[in-house]
Amino acid sequence: MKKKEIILKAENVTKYYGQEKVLDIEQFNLYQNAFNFLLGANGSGKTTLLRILSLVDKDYNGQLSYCGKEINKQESELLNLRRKFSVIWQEPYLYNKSVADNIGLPLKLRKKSKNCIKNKVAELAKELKISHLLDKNSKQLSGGEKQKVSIARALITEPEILFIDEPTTNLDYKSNQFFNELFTKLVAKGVTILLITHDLYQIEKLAEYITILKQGKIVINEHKEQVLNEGELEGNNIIGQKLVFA
Amino acid sequence: MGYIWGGIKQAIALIIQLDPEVVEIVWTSVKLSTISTLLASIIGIPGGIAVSKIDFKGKYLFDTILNTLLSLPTVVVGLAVYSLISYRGPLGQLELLFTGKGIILGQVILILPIIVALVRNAIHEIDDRIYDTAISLGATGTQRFRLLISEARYGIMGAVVAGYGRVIGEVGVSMMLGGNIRRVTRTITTAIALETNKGRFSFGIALGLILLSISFIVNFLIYYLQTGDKE
Amino acid sequence: MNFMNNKKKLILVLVLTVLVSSFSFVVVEAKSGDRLILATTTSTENSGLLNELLPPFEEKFGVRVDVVSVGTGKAIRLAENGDADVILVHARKAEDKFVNEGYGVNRRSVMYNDFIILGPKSDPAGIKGMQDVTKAFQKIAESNSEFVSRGDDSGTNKKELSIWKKAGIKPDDSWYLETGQGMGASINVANEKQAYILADRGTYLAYKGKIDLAIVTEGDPLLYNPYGIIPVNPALYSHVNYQLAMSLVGYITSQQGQGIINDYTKYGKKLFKPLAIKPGNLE
Repeated sequence: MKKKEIILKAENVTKYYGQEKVLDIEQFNLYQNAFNFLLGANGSGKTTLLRILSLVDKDYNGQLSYCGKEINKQESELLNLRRKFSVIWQEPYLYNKSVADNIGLPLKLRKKSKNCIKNKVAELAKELKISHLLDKNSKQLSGGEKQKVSIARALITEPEILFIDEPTTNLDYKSNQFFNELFTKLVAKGVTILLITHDLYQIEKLAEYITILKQGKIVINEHKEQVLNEGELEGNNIIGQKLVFA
Repeated sequence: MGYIWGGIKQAIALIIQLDPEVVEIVWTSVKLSTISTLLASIIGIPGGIAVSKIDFKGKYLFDTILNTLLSLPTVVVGLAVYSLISYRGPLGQLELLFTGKGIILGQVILILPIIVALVRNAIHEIDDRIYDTAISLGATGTQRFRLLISEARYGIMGAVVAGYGRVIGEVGVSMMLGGNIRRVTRTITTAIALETNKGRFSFGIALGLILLSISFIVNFLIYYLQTGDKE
Repeated sequence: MNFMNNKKKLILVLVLTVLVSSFSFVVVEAKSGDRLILATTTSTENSGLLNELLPPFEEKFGVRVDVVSVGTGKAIRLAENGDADVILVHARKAEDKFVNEGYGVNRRSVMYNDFIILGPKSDPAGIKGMQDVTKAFQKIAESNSEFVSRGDDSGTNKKELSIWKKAGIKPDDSWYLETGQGMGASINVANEKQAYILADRGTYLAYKGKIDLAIVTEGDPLLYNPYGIIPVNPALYSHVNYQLAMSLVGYITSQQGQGIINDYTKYGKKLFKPLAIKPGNLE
């Protein structure tokens, strides 16, 4: 088992909501070109950590580094990095525009030409089997359709790192399968994925690296096999055990 | 009853024949209201956005005052602005009294609080997720702001239309600052208020019908803008 | 979706059209020439006389006369604040005070008409045909018949109050109703209440046929209602358009102006009699 490079690292990161410390991370590694899973009970700080790692939330203490280089909190540097990342939210927000405009929005923000946006949107929509939705207004979509559109919107920039927060809640079994395969293909192409999930099947099939959060602290942040080995040493299935409370 | 029907019949005739005086008065009203609303919007839309986004000391008091100003009586505005632009007032030298500009000044003051408050509400009503989403999509500060405004567009347009509805139907400001001068500051409402004193009932009814139609269109627009994004 | 977009575009085009044309008119309006602000009473404006009297003057002098019609009291206050160039009002005492205090100069008498008392056909105070207006007022008070007052400090209101004073009555009982509104609106109130009211003849003629009130008292010299024109004192307010105001005074008291006043009829009746030139001396 060859250990992969670390693309994003968090050290001594703490986050408070008022007086309450909700996150206390000594060290967290996000492994490049891998399927990283972030697990933990509700309220354990998964989404909070995801917002910090994806540079959406910069209101924290501690240090992040990208490819070994420390990230300062200057807006220009943050913007540069954010544009290499994409986030798929658990409850996506779509703008009050057409589906096509929503999917093309990140490219528009990056000042791509209209033609380029149009072609890319059409191509991606076809791949994700949502071409029939393109002309609709986002408000007309069902929950599952919204999630599919938000996935397309996240993928259109061909991100280096894809942060995904329990995307499958709103999706049916078939779509679920479809996206699991899609994400696997992306990793194979070199994309790094951080995925928050409760889905044991997904973990078993897809996980490469596993991180478990408990009350804001990291319990495990290692390769799946290592986690399993440790588990065997202790005579039980650590993932399963850790997830029972989840 | 007979003379009411007679009045309405004559009124409709006045409208259909495009009676020059009726047309002139309606045009004056539309013109002044449009300019007032536009100016109030230019100040009020950024103002409303600022109020919704910026926290400052005494904001609670500010909001309370703003909400009070929403129901500002037109005659109070008229009186206050009269004392400002009367020749003896601090702005007397500008000679705004009894001109369209005077009416516009009063109307802007009248609807500025309305536009500010409604724009503020429109921004408040936007889903908080818009902020995280915009950041994660790689929007710059300016782009985030533009996305925010774009999402609030129906609410903002609704605020502007509501302001228009208020000024086109108000009489206090137009009367006190405009003086109901024929061909200059005689608006639909001041004409209705004063021309009926001359016994020109059908004339008043004609203007009333037109005002009703304008109000209907305005309210239809508000309704359309409020529901347009939910269909 | 496309249909919605088209509708939106239509609305946008509509709004833009109104906007652009509004502003183009503002630009045009800004070019208009001299203006003279004439503050006058609602009864004068309501009579329609000014629409006949002013256009020849406007044409001759290339000026626009902006008529602001309010109650006499308010017209005088506007002039005192320097917000009008000239006033045409009917309340002799207040006019003299206005001149004596230095607000106005060169008052000239213009014309007169008369006040009348209107009342319900049932005539509960029994004053129909009475000429003595003071006695009529006393009878109204004695019989507790409802009486509508304008209560707006207008010339008519001032006249009414002076008659009550002469009659030795302080009208503050429940039969005395103050509207605080113009002549027409007050006549309407009196009509609804079937009450007595002091009105100017011009406004009454405009309402005749639409109300169930009739003239009960007329002809008392007390009901004489003279109008005066007074330019605002240029020594007090240098910004007022004194030259044009004096031109207007000259025009209105000229053969031409007085002739128009003498010939003016409404509903087939003459409304005003000229005062500056005796009718016999009119050409």
